Formats: sequence, C-alpha cells, structure tokens
Amino acid sequence: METSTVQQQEQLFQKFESYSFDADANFQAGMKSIIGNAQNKSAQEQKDAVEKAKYFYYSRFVQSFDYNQYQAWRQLKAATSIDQDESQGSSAPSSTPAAPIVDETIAEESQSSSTAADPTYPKSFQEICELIASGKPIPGIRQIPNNLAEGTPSEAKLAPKLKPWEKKKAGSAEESVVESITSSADATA
Amino acid sequence: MFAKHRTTGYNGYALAVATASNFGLVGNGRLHILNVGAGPAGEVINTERVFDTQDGLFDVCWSEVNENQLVTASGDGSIKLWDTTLADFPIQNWHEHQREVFSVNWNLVRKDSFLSASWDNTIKLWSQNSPQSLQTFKGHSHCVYAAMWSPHSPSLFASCSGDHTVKLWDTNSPAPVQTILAHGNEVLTLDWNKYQDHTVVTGSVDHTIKVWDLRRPDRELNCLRGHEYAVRKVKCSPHSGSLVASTSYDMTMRMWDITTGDMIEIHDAHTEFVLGVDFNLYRDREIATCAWDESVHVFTPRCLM
Repeated sequence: METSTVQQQEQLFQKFESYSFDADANFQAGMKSIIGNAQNKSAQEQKDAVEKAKYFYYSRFVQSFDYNQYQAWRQLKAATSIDQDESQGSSAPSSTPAAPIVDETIAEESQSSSTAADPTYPKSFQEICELIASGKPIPGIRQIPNNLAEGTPSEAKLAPKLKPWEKKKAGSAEESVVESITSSADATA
Repeated sequence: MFAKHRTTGYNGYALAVATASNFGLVGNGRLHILNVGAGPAGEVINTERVFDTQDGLFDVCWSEVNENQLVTASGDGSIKLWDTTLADFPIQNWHEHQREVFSVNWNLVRKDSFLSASWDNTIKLWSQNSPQSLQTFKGHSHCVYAAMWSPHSPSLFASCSGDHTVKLWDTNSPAPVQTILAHGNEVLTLDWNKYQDHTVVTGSVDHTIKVWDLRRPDRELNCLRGHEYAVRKVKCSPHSGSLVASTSYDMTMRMWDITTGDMIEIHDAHTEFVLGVDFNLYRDREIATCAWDESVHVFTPRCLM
C-alpha cells in the first residue's frame, strides 16, 4: 500500500460511512438473508456480518475499496484521536527499530490469544496499519532471504499415474487394456 | 467425517495449501504441505512441512513430473518451485510478472510445462528447466485470474479475466483463438470438464457459475445460481463429468450437478471467505476447502455419501 493513496482512501471511506443503506431497497433485500444466516450467532458476529454485507454491497455497486484498509483506517482514526499529541510535534521517535524481526512463534501466540475478542483481526493488526500509514517498516514481517535450496532436488520415483478420467476413457476404449492399466496404477499407489 | 486444520496466522488460499498473512494485505506467505491420514477418532491432518515466503501466496499446483515438487503463485509477482524433500527454500524462483500472480497450472497432457496468470494482464508459459519464461500471452485488457490447461489437449488452454471474458489459446499461436464474453462482471475462475472435451465452467463476481460448450460461444449451456456473493473458485470433479464444486465470498462451498443445474450441497462450516476447493484425485468422495478463517476442511460431502 502506498501512503500517497491514503488521502483518497480517507474520502472514499467517509463516503462509505455516510451512505444511506437504510434507504437502499436492494441492499435491504439482501440483508434479510444475511440476518437469517447469522441468527444463531453472537451480537458481535451479527454486527460484523452486517458491516461486511455493507462493504460488499458498496464495493460492488457504488465504489470498490479494500475492506482491510478500511478497517485499518477506522482503527487508526480511533487510535489517533487518543495519541495525536504524542505523534505530532516531534519527528518520528529515533528509537524505532529499523526492521524488527519478530519471532514467528511469538507472532502466532499473540494472534491466537486475541482471537476470542476479535477473531478477524489479530492484536498487531492496528499497529501494522499505523506503520503502513506512516511508511515505517512493519514488524512481524520476517525477512525471508531470496535464496534457492541447497542440496539436490529429488528424483521422481512414482511412475506417472493415469488421471481418473484417463482411466475411464481407456476403459471405454478397450476393456481388456483398462484392467492392466488400472492394476499397474493401483500398484504404484 | 470432518477433519479440520488450523493454519494459524495465515489465511488459506488453495493438500498443499498456499497462504498469506494479514489477508494478503501485507506480510509473509507460507506454503503448507499437509498429510491427511486416519486417526483414532476419524481423519487427522498433520503438517508435513511448511515453507515461508516473503510475500503472500495465492495459488499452488503440484508438479506432474515429480511427486515431491510443486509450484506457487506469489503476491510479489514471483513464481517458485518447491521440493518437499529440501527445507526452507525453493529450488527455482522466477520473477517476470509485474504484478500479483493469481494462478499456476501444470500441463496435464505433455506434463513438461506450466502456466501462470497475473494481474499484469498476461499469461506466461514456463518450463521448470528454463530460467526464463518460454512464452507470454497478451490479449486480456484486465487482470488475468486463471489460466487452465485443457485435460484433453497438449497445447490448448483457457483463461479468465477481469475484462469479463474467457479466452481460448493454443501455445502454437501468440493470439487467442477464441474470446467469449462470459459474464457481466469479472470472471475470477474457470475449470475444464474432464469428461467432455469442449466444456468449461466459469465463476464470476456476478455471483453466477456458467457452463459453456466452447463450440457454442454465443451462449452458455447452463447458468447456476445460488451463491450470494462473488464466486471465487470452481472445480470440475476428476471422477464425474456432472459434478462441480464452487467457493464464494458468501463463506460457502457449494456443489452442483451441471447436467440438471441443481445445487446438491452447501458446506457452510467456514466463518470467512472460502477461497479454495479441490477434489481428492485418489479418494473419489473426498473434498478439501480452505478459507480466510485460517482453516482447512477435509471431508466427504453429504451428496457423495
């Protein structure tokens, strides 16, 4: 994501939030099935389902946008209203690590521990989006060297198996042939 | 019987499963090689190996010439060939596409090459032994979401695109041999019927699945309605000419009898967009699905019990 698009996106997101879904008959018709599907779900899940439906509808019929970026924007908006004073004034904190490499198991743990409250977005998601918005390196992204594997690639050991449709074709062509083909194919299984 | 596997932190795209963290927005990808076997309480899925990548992975395809090898499509435009007997890194890495690679597909007849389809509007032909692509096919005016070999011909393949069309190509010609205006919206997926030479099935953002006889491009044979949002993946059964599975952003996998047009199954156990589905080639009633809920489901659908 490029930071130059952030402002355009902001306008788009604001338009989406002010769209009158209640007055849109097509949307309301679709909503019935969404609510029906979410009947046995928790209030939060129902809320999520409605919000997602709005996104889908708006994206398809009004103007498309990225739901994850919208979420990020919303979370960022909520966050910046709290620590705006901190981030303004001085330049970026010099203590920010250049490209922190977070151990993968730690990243997974922190994600799964947050799943109970908000299954869709991991705890670090907001932090990641703030970093994207400010153009800083994103922690948790491991730097994977662009290497090729050392060692000798394997040699194929299994004889090519006939696909199921090739077996059936061979079968319909000549029945005596298919027996030998399928038995040899099965033998390699 | 219903085996679940969680690919924690990664959202499943394609039982090799290609995944991307943070919904493909930013972050790493991971290729999961999973082993489905019998356990004391039914089927269990074990992770045999994982490979990490710099960018999200959107598709994966097993090699047709080596049972240990497979190729992946990556968000950064790269294509990687992996050998499951070697740890950590791919054995080949190609980077020619300018944008996301959305599908990879191995030639089923000659088995010596594979195709990649990219958001840079092109399709490329590759041989695993060649450091550069063999050929580039230009013709689509929007993202190409899939390019799939005919199971009946060594050189024929079909592609689908955000330009609403399906194109038929022959590797002997740089231009498409046929163009079908297939849907009223982006065509995200297509597959060939394995038992009828000229039949392809397409899925679109317009929520529908269409069955086509390529000899009659003016009109579809059948239009299957039921999905409530964009259709992300369609797969024709390798075991039956009438069975098709589809996945959608409506969080379901559905199955269809294309001879009658009936929807015969709805799998709604995923809690997020379902992106991938495939039939087990060797156990003819088994299906695997993967979704953005970071889960893989392996099961026998009710309609096949």
